[in-house]
Amino acid sequence: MFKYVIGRLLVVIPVLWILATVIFFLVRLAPGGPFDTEKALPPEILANLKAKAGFDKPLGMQYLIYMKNLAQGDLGPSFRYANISVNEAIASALPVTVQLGICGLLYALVLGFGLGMFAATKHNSLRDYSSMGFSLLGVCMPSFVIGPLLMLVFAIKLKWFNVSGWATMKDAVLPALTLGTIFAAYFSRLVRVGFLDILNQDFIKTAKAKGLSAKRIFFLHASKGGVLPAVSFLGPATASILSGSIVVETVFNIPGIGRFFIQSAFNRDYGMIIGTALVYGVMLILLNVVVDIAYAFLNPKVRYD
Amino acid sequence: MVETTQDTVVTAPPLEEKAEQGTSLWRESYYRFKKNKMAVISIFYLLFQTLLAIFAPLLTSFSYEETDLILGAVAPNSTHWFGTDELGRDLFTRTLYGARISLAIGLLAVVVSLVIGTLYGAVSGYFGGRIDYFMQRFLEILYAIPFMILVIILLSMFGHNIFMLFIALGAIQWLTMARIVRGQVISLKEMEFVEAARCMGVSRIMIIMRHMIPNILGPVIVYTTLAIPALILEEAFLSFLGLGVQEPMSSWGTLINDGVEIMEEYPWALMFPSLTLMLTLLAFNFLGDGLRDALDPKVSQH
Repeated sequence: MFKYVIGRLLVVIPVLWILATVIFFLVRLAPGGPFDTEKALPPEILANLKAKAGFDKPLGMQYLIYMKNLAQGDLGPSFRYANISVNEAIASALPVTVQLGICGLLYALVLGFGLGMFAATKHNSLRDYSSMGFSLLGVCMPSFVIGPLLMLVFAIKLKWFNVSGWATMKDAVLPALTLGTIFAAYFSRLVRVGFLDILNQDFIKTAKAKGLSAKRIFFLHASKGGVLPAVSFLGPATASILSGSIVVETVFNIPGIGRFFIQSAFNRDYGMIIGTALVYGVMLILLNVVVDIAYAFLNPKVRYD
Repeated sequence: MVETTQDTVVTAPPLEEKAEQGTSLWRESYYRFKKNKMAVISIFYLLFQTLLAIFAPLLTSFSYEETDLILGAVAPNSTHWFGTDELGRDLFTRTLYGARISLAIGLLAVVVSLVIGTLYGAVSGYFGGRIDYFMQRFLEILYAIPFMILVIILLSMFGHNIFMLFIALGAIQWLTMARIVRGQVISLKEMEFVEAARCMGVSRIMIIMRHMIPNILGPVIVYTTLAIPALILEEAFLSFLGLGVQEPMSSWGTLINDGVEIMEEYPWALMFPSLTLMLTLLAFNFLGDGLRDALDPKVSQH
């Protein structure tokens, strides 16, 4: 198990290298540059700026320098934010994105698992149909629709929350709802199917025949297998949680990685683009490994030896 | 589903003949599908939506690009069914034309992913051994790359044209398709009827064409139906970030993005494109569920 996790984590190195290389050449080969401003700069100043950033050297040389710094954990300067390095920007933005992700995911897990289990306790009943009705609706509510709607109703009209920002705990409510709803919907469907499957199996009948209470059977015997389909969905879902957080940060103007990333992509802030993209790469791999471990823990058929 | 097909495929009659026997896999699936009312309604809704998109120019007397600043934004009424935006453009027209882009991107990108994914998965699963091992490791590395991030960079750096969008979105989606096809092929390879065909000296190509492809079709169809709404969503996501189609053209994503900016004063500009997008996503989901129940009776017990 330990060996397996280490092996999986080692994938980080080639993936980050590929990512950094691809993005490095992608952004350099694209037309335009970080010093394109609305007002054209005098040529001498532009040349000075470029020389300071190392753009006067051949591209291959620049790549080697960047890679050498990257290997030491230095992501270089930002070309747009004068007094801040990419490392500092990420250090300030990453906690925000992680907090947002945790809030959104917790909400999605609690609501999704709750609804799914609630529906599964009584198959084809009103509670089953109503919870599945909600989840169908949720599946069709992308974050960029639900976010503005929540903002319009609860922040602009009712004024219960701030329209944007990330200062108090309260500011996390609408973004977390926006990020989590679609996943809550998916989870609840998968949890429901998982439980219905398990509850049909023979060992559950045996437990019933032994006279165990319905609650005990549901939570002790069926729960481990019942959540499996939802947990296996978590893996592929991580990528969309990350892109979802980009939307949420844009809609609610939250100073996280996503906003830095989008702004730098539009501003051609080379170092910032690569830096934030690498953060996403690391998060994607870490989340996937966590999900795989959880899956192995829940499913006795899976062994990583 | 594999189990139920076994008998019919051993004799391998052509599809037309099978339909006449009355109990074939496809006919059974058709009956199961017909019983699912929501799925049938959805298929008609999607056909309707597609026809609306195709015949958009005939259905509206307004232009999707001509602005009317004097008119400005008006609420939905009998001339402007969905109202107009702040530039006086008819939103019903723009939503109709947006359907063209959104549906086209969903369908074309799914074809891209279908072709790459099926080929990759089939080759990897069928040949197995070392080829399979390396192809799967390569897939694992690709899975660890945040593609959406690369697509955003690509589109923002090199400008965004529709063609790039097709390719980029299709290129993300094929990974899962390859996994599904590979899994199916591996389990089929071990089936007795394939072994029997091999023993009888049927060529590899014939085995793939006659025995493999008809049997992997079911899961592939189901996944395709569920991939289309995912792709429509991804296009809308990119358009929302300002990376999709460009003004004056519209897709549902750009319309939602425009609507968000003016939602305080003119909420209809956000409502109608959002509702259209959601209804379409809902229909695809119903259709996907219906097809899964029809084509894969093993999981349809619930």
